[in-house]
Amino acid sequence: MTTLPPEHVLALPVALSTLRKGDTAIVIGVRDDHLDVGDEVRSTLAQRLLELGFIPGENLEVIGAIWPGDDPIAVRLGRSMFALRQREAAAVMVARAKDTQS
Amino acid sequence: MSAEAAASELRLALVGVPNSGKTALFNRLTGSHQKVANYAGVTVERKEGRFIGSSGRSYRLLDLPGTYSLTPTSLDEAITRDAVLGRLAGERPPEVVICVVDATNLRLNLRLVLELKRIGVPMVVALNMSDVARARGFRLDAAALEREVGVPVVETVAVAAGGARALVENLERRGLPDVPQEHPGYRDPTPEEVLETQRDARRILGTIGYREPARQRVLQRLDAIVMHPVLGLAVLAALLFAVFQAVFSWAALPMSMIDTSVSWLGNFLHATLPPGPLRSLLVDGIIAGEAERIVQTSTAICLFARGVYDLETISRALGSVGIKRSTGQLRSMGECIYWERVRLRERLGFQARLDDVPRRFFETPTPRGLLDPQRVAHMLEIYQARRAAVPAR
Repeated sequence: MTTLPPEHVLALPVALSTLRKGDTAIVIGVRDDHLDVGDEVRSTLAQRLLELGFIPGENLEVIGAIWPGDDPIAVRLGRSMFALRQREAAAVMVARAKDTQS
Repeated sequence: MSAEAAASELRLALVGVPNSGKTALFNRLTGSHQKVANYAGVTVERKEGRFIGSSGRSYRLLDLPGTYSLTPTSLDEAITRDAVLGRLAGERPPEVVICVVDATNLRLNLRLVLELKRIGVPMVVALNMSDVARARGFRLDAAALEREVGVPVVETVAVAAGGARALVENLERRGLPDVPQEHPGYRDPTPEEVLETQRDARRILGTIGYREPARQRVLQRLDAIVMHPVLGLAVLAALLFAVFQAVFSWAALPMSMIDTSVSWLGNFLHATLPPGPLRSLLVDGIIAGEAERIVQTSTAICLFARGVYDLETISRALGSVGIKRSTGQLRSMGECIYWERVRLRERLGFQARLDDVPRRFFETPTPRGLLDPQRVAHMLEIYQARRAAVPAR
């Protein structure tokens, strides 16, 4: 896992999938569990998330979640909005913004 | 086209992340000179077009499937990578790759540019939607971006007339290599390398002073509405209703206008063309129309959508399930069945004679008056000539 230097992270990292609508957070890293994506098993989930910009230090906000099961959730990252499946959101480790400020 | 002219054509390929305006740019450059097919053996659409630059040089432009990365997660994305790397069978690699980026979202787009640059394909960056970016208050410096990335960067506005002219002029001004490059040593980047490229992209954005304005309140409110579990569905229902209305009610006026102009055209042709050739055309039209209808009925395609399900669409639909039939093959198939049906009817006693046409056909007035038996007789004659020309099985 690629991580931020510890001095930037005061809160324990949690998975993006545990955040609620309206929460803002800072990306700490993505878990590379070699989960594959799509039907062409070339890329891993971690790789694609990094390519989309889920890199350490980026701010994100949970815009919405689909009932039931919060699957998928809508996440705004910079000027893009992504719909992430629970499985995908679970691979992104974040620190809640209010925690990082405290 | 002569072989010499084909050899001097420059092959370009458009690459870009989804929604970067790649296809709008493709349409802007090629206009109606497009050819749509499939890549060999897969159901990925291959769109190619031609255009002529202001210098008179001709170009072939390939619109590759949108992708965030050259490490594919789908068949489409694999096609894009293979096309760029020159690994597609039967497809020569592009001489120049045009990487289309959305100027309002460089954060997402720039990494692909750097990835393409890393593998060393000759490329130009089309900084698309640059007008929208400026209008929304983005700070954008194409010259600085060009300096930092090290490849030509040209601003484009794919949705405006002339918005792609600068791109072609730039291509013509700079002597780009004519020799396709091959990349035998290519391997997918590791996650660490992806992260490094992302950091490079952000460093470049910082250096060139790229600034994004705060998100507009209006957009945030819209997001909240369309993504609301109840309101969102209401918006969807309203949109679907509008589409439904457009098809079934609002289309009535343009339909009647088309109807009027077609019958006007018919009258005009009637008045100007001598009856012989016109009637041959009519008979041939009836036979061809019937043959096409047969293709539709034998593939169980809705009869009310003629013109929508034309032979080209049917050919592509069949292609997607692995049945390769050209429109020409479909047409001759339809004709084959048509004449087979005629033979069957003839065995049951049918003859295309005037006496066999029910009398009421000539007694019931049509909107254009009574049907003239002489005209029908003439058309039947033409029909019989066509029938005689069909070889017996």
